[in-house]
Amino acid sequence: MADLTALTMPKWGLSMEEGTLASWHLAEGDAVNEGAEIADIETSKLLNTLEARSPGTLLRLVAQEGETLPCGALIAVLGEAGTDAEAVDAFVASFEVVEPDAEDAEDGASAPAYRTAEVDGLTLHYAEAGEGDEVVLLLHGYGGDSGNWMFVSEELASVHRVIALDLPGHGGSDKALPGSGSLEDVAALVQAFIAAEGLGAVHLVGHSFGGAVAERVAATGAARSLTLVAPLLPGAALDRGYIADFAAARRKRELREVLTRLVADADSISRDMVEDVLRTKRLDGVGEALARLGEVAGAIANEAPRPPATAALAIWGEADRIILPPSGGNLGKGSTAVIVAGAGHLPHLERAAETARLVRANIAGERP
Amino acid sequence: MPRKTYRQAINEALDCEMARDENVIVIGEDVAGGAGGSGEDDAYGGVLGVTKGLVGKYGRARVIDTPITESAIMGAAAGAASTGLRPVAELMFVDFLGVCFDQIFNQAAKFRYMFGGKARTPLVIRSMIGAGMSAAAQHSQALHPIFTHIPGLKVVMPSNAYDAKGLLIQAIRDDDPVIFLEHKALYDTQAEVPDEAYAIPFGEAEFVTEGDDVTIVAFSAMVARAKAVAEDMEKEGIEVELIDPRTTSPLDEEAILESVERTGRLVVVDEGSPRCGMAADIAALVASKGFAHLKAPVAMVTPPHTPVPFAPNLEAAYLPSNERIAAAVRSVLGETVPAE
Repeated sequence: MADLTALTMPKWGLSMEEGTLASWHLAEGDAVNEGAEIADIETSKLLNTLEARSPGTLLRLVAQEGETLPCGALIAVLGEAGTDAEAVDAFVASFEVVEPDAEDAEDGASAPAYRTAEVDGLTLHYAEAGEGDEVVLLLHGYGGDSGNWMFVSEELASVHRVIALDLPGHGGSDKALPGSGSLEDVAALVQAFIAAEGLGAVHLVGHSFGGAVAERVAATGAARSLTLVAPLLPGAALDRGYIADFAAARRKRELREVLTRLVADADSISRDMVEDVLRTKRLDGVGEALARLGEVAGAIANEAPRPPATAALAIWGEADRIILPPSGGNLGKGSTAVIVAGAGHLPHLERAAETARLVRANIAGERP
Repeated sequence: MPRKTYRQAINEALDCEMARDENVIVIGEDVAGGAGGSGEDDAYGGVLGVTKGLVGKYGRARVIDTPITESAIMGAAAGAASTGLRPVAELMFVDFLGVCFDQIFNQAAKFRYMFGGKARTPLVIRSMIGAGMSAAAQHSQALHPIFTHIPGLKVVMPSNAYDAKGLLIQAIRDDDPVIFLEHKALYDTQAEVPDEAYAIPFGEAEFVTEGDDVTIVAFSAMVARAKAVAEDMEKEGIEVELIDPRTTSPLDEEAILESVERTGRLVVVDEGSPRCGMAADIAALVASKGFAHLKAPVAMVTPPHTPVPFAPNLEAAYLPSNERIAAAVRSVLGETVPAE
C-alpha cells in the first residue's frame, strides 16, 4: 500500500466545528514543502491559511472550493509523486473522520478544554491545550477573548501546555473587574491566577491591551519569556477613536465597520464574527467593563513613552491602524520588533502561521 | 454555546430577573398551578410550561396563581407596577385581552402621561399570538397592531429564542408597560442562547440577511418564512435584505428607510389582519419618507381580512406562505408571476 497522508479540515480552537474551503493555493500534482500554503479555510471567525506539516505531492483535492465540511473531514491526499490513482481512490473511499479531540487523546496529549478558576473572588475562564512543563499564557486584547488565539494555539500546544485566559470583563470570565479595574489591578489578578493554578514561571504572550498586562506581569520577574503582539505600551500611538466607536457600536453594520479597522483585509471580517462580538457586548456587565478598560487604555497611551521593562519580542502587523509600532522599531534595550506583512492589528489571526512561528522561536530563546 | 428552545429562553429570562431583583413577580392563570389544592405544587408552570420551576425557587408570594379573571390580573399588575413592583403578568391567549382593555389602554398606558411624568409603570404583559396550531378563530389572532396603536405601550415580538431572552430581560427592566407577544408556533424552535443575562434594546431591528436587491420586513413567526425565501432567492442570485424589527413600538424606522434607500424595493410580511396593520403602517412609512427611492410599489403579504379558519387546510391558506412571499419578491423585482 502506498504511503499516503490525509489532509483534513483543521480544528482551530474549541468552538470550531466546521470550515469552508474558500480556495486552493495549489493544484493536483503540485509538490508541497513543509510550511507551504495549501488552502484558505473560512471559519466562523476569520479566513486562515492551511499550511502543510509534511512534504509530499498533492495527489488528490477531495474538497471542492466553497464546500463546508466538519473538522477532521478529508480535504486532500498527500503522497509520493506517481502513486497509483486506484490506491488514492481506495484511500479516499476508506477514510473515516476521526474526531480531532479523540485523535489527540490517542496520541497521549490532553484534549483542549475550557476550565474555570476562582481567583480573588472572581471566576476566570480559560481554554487549555497541550502538555509540557513550561506553560504559555496567552492574554487577549480589549474587547477580545481567548478564542482570538484559535489559529496559533494549536501550533504552540504541540510543544507546550498552552493556557488562553479570558481577562475579567471578557469572554466567559466574570464581567466585574478586580479592584478599580486599573492596569495594575488586572495584572495583579493575572499573577494571582498564575499562582492559584501553580503555573510557575510562564511564557507570556499578550496582544494589545493584553500586551500591556503581560508587560506588567513580566516586570515582576514572573516570566520565562515575553512576546508582545501589537502591544499597548506606555505612550503608544493609540487610535482612541477605535475604542470609543467599538464601545458605542450597537448595530451590525456599525460594528462591522469598526472591526474592519482591525484588519488589513476588510473582507476577512465575517458576519458571524460581527454577530459574536455584538452578542458579547449585550451581556450584563460587559458595557461597564469595556468603558472602564477603555479609560485605562487611554491613560496608558497618555503616559510618557516607556519601553518594556523586560526584554521582549514585539510583533506588529504592517497595516496596523489601531496601535502604530514605535518609530524605527525602537523598543528599548534587549527588545526586538518584527513587522509582519499583510496583517493589521490582529497578526495572530491574519497571519497566524507566521506569528505562531515567531512566538515559538521567542519562547525557545531564538529571537529573530 | 448551548442551544435552547424559545420556551426555555423565556423561562431563563424570568429566572435571571427574579434572581436579580426581588421586586419582579409573576402573576397569571396557573403560572405555577395547584394553588390551594392538595396536588403537585408546580403542576403547570403556565399553559405551555413557560413558568415551570419558578414557584419552587421564588415562592407563592412572587409566583401568583389567579382565578380566571383577566381583568383582575391586569388591574392587579398595573397597580402593583405603580407601587414599585415589576410584575410580569401572563395572559394565555392575546385573544382574551379584550376584557382588560381598560386596565391596559386607559390605565397602565396613561399613568406616566396623566401624572406629569412622575409615575412609572414597569409592567410586562406576556401573551401568546398567532395561527398555525388549529386553535380556531378565538385563540389564533395576531393582535399586535392593536397594542402598537396605543401611545404609552411598547410592543415586542421575538422571532427566535435568542431574541426572546434578551428582549424579555429588557422588557422587565423597562419602566414603561411592555406587551410581550410570544408566537405559539415558536415555543419549540431552538437557537444558541447564552446562560448569562443580556438585554437587547428596543427599537433596534435585526438584519437577518443582508442584500441590495430587495428589502423584506417581517415580524415574529413570519421571519423564519421570509428567511427561507431569502435563502432560496440567493441561489438565483437575488440578494434579499431581511429586517426583523423585533419591536413594533418603538419601530426602527431608520433601519427600514436606510435599507429601502439601497434596495428601492420593499415587501412587508405580517400575520396581522391587513386593515390598519403593520404591513400597511410600514408601507405608509416608506411611501411618505422614502418614496423617492422606491422603484416599485410596496408589496404587502398578509392574511385575508377574515377570522382565522379552524380547518387546517384553510388555516394554511390563510397564513402568508413561502410561495406568496416569493411571489411578492418577484413582483417588486418586476418579474411577471402567475396569477394566484
